[in-house]
Amino acid sequence: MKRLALNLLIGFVVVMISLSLMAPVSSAKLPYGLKEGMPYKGTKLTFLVHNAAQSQAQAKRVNQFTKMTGIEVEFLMVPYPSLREKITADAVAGTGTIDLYCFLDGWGPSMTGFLVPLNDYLKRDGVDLSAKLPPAYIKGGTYDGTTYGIPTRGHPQLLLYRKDLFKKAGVEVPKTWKELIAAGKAIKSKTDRDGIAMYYGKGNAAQNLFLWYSFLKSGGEDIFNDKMMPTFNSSAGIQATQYYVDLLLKYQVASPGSKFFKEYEASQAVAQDKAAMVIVWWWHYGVLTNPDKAQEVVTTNVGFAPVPAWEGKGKATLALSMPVGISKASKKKEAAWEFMKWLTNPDLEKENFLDKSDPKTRTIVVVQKKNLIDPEINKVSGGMHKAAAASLAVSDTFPMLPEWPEVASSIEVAISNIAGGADTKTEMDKAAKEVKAIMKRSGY
Amino acid sequence: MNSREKYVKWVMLAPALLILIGTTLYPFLYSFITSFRFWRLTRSAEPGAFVGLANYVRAFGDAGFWNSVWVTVLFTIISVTLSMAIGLAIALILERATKLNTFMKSLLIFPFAMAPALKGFSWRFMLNPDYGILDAMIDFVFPFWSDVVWLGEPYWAVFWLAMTEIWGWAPYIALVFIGALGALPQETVNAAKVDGANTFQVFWHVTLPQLMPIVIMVGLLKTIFSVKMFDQVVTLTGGGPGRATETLNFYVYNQGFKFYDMGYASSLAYILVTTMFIFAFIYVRFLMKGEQN
Amino acid sequence: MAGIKMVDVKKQYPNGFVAIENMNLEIPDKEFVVLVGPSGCAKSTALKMIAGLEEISSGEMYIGDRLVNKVPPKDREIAMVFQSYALYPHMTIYDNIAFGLKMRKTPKEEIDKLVKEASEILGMSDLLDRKPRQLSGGQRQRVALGRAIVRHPQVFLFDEPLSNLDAKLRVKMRTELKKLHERLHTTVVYVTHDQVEAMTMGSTIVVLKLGAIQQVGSPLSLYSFPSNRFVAGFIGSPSMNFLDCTIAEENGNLFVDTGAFRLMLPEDKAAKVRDHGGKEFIFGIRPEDIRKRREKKESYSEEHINAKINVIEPLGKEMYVNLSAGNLEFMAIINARFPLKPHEEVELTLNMDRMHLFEKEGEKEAVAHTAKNATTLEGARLMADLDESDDD
Ligand SMILES: Nc1ncnc2c1ncn2[C@@H]1O[C@H](COP(=O)(O)OP(=O)(O)OP(=O)(O)O)[C@@H](O)[C@H]1O
Ligand SMILES: [Mg+2]
Repeated sequence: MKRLALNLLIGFVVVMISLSLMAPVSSAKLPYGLKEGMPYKGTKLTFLVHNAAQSQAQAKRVNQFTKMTGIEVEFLMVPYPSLREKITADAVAGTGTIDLYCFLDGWGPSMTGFLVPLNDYLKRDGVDLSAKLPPAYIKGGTYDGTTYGIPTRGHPQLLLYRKDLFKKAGVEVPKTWKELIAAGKAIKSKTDRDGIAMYYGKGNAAQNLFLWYSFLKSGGEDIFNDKMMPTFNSSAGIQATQYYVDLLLKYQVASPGSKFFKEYEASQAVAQDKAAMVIVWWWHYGVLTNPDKAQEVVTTNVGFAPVPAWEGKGKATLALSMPVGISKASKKKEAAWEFMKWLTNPDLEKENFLDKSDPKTRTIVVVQKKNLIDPEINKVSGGMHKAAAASLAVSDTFPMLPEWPEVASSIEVAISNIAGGADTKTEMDKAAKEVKAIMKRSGY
Repeated sequence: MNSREKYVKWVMLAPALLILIGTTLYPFLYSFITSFRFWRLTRSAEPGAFVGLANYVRAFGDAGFWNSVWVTVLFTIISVTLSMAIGLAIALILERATKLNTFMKSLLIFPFAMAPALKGFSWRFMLNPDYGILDAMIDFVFPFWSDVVWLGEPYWAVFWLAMTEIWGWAPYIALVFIGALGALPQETVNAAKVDGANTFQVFWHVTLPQLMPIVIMVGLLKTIFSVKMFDQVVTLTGGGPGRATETLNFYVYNQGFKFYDMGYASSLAYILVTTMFIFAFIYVRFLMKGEQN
Repeated sequence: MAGIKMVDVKKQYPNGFVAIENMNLEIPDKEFVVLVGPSGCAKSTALKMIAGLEEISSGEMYIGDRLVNKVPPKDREIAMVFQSYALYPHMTIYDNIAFGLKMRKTPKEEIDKLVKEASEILGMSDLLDRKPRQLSGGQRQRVALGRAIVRHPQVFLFDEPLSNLDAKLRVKMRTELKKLHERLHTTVVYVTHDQVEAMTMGSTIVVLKLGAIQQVGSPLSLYSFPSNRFVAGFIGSPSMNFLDCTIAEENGNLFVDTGAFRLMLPEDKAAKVRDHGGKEFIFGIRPEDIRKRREKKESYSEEHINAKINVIEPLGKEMYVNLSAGNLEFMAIINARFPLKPHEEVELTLNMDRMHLFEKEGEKEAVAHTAKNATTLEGARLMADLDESDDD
């Protein structure tokens, strides 16, 4: 009896193995929850995305997806500054030429009219985003409880600094704003470099609010209250704002150019060996270690640390992500969803990150929780991803509002004016008044 | 021409006419209608209800709008006068056909050929206080200005914004003027010299008046281009510091493509277009006519 | 007031073209000098150099005693009428004329007076408010003249100032210009390609050809004693007849042999070419020195030939007759009272005292006819009058 059972088992196993040998492809289960049997074979998708290294790397490997599903994908890459305009134009035209958009998290709420809610898809395929992504990245693709996008690219903020200059000035890496000012002063007097490169300039993407938001939130204030009325001009808000610009105006540890710098110029100030610190999106680490973009003394000495906070108060940094969503006008939504499942899989992200064959791909990042703590990835990045994971745990996004671009523009102007010497309270009150009008107009 | 030929003519022209109507007239009318509607893309990709003149009324109470009008006027005055004056000066210097001048003339086309967005980028780079070459040069020549962060000061930012425009246009205008000067009769210049005019008087009393039709024409075109200028605001100043360089066109763009308020943006665009039209009309009517008599 | 002196002046244009090789010319103060020559012979170039509008490539230019090579036009105290008028198109006629005065800071009332005066002379007082493009070519030319004559310069430069006027107006303007010259007593350099104008206006005529001076002299001396074939052909209308010939000797007499006929040289001329027997020459005689043969003997050395009439151009008092002898063609001016008809044979008298012989090579005058005792201009003119008087 026992023997029979064993024989049967062996026989079963043999049959199973031989069966699997006979038809190895058809029976292997497709990964990432992709649908079996190539139901959308021959479908052609168009994916509108900015021309980042990340997108290029994805495009390079998209034939893996095509092999598994028979779906072809064209990456329509545009420069980042014209991405929003392109999405808008396509969405308003409503012809369904483009099936998927990659967008900035802050744009999402104003674009919900163009995007397909993904909740049903997620539920159907049993995808649990909170297991995959840090909360700020999930929030970046969500508006009013509905998911509209899943990011493949996202950034926490890190303090990037020059280890050698810190050593020379005899200071430690700052954990608080106060320490940062002290370190900046020491560096300025001992190394003839500016302490930190800030970016108070008015740009086109509210960049001067990135760090302001950290100051504001870790100072215990927020932009809006529950009723979506502005609170950033409260006394705490004004104090935080003042402190933020005082790095330049009062303590003078910031580069003079900070007054009009945008983020990239601040990063360049460090790259060109003019300043010792900068707080930026983490991908700038890839820039500051790139010998083509930064001076050698910088590339060999740049280090990273979490963003400082107020003493005795909470930590808070900003995170930013670029979700991918499906166009409402698309006629191939199911195929597009298949593509999204593949695009947001952790293996692709890891493979892209670890492929250093092209020096231009230094700015590729990972967003998946699994990858952020992956030993192999952290080995390559010198532990930066672990630091980022810590930072992302306390990160938040900008308010997810359709009116956000307009609101941001008002505050952005105020910050720029304050950095130029205008009175903080006056400017913040003025901005708050404008924001109130914007929100009122929208029916809040 | 018999009626059949006439008919054939229209059939042949039809595709071109349709394209013309489709590409110019349709958007023109469409945005005109939009300017009377509520249409926020944040709510819907479809245009909403008609709201009468509400969008236009809003413009007149909008401080941001009036600021952009002022910035545009300031920018236009600076960029038009300086690009014309510098263009004319270059033209007068390079007018004589020497080998060096021919070479210099061929260089003139480069700034104009540069994409406007790139102009903004490169000037922003050159004005960077940390490593900008232009900033370094100014600091060297005018040490008392070494602390000025050029793009951080409202009026300087407008000035440099105008400079990017002038840098691109003055050489081109110079080429136009060189052509025009070459076509002027040398004889009148000679006559004035013999009549006792010095170099400046010759220019002022003889050359310039004869050049005036071209100057007026170029002035009109340049004004239109200046009012429409957009790319450099984005790439040079982002409209900053504060709202110091937010031109009208930039403001309209933001309302439409950033804040997604298509109705309001359309009404602002129409205010811009109407103002330009009235300006051009008066200009052509009076200045150009004046030239003809 | 000042004379003009050019010493070894050369003009090479920037494109390398040498317009004037080496010009030496002295124009005395208060003289009315006419530069004449065919189109393209650098008349305008010479004027522009005097005005300072064209740089001198080498040599020296003096106005008065002053070396003006480097003096700009405005400091040369000249007034110029341009061949192309060069009116300021954007100014009224009044302003065009007044411009030079304004530049010289003349008081307003005086400008007004001068402009009115000039426009009076030019007969265009009612055109002062117009712009140049509202004028006819001739009217524009008068404005150009007006612009020059309101001024009181050291030197007037006129570049074909009457070329666009009708015959009547031109004659009137010539007189006006002469009067102006007499009134102002200013040096005038007057360019024309019209030799009749040159003859009637200039006290001295400078004949130019391809940028080189051919001859300088009074109208009559150029007419009577051209120093080469070019001047001989250029001055006088219709122009001198030129016939290829050789010199033949017979019985101690020298003859001009054209192939078609032989003409005996008068004693004084024969003496000059006696050594040139057999050499090739060009025989020149003006149409007005060929007449229909008359019964009575002429007062000069005459020779006779027969010729056939080809064409007759009646001009009233006289007629231009185109004739041929053998295979030679030439022109004669014959008194209209003779009833000549085409294709007739006619017997002609040639005034051998007024004939010319030019060397075939170089075309220099070999035997200028001696002006008897007339060495001065007045004398020559008198002689011409005498010649004229026994015409009929
Ligand atoms: N700027 C110039 N560059 C080169 N060659 C020139 C220039 N101006 C004139 N010439 C040449 O110089 C020669 C003399 O010209 P100029 O105008 O003096 O002649 P002109 O005697 O006044 O003729 P016209 O009777 O036709 O006015 C001509 O062969 C002409 O082609
Ligand atoms: Mg001439």
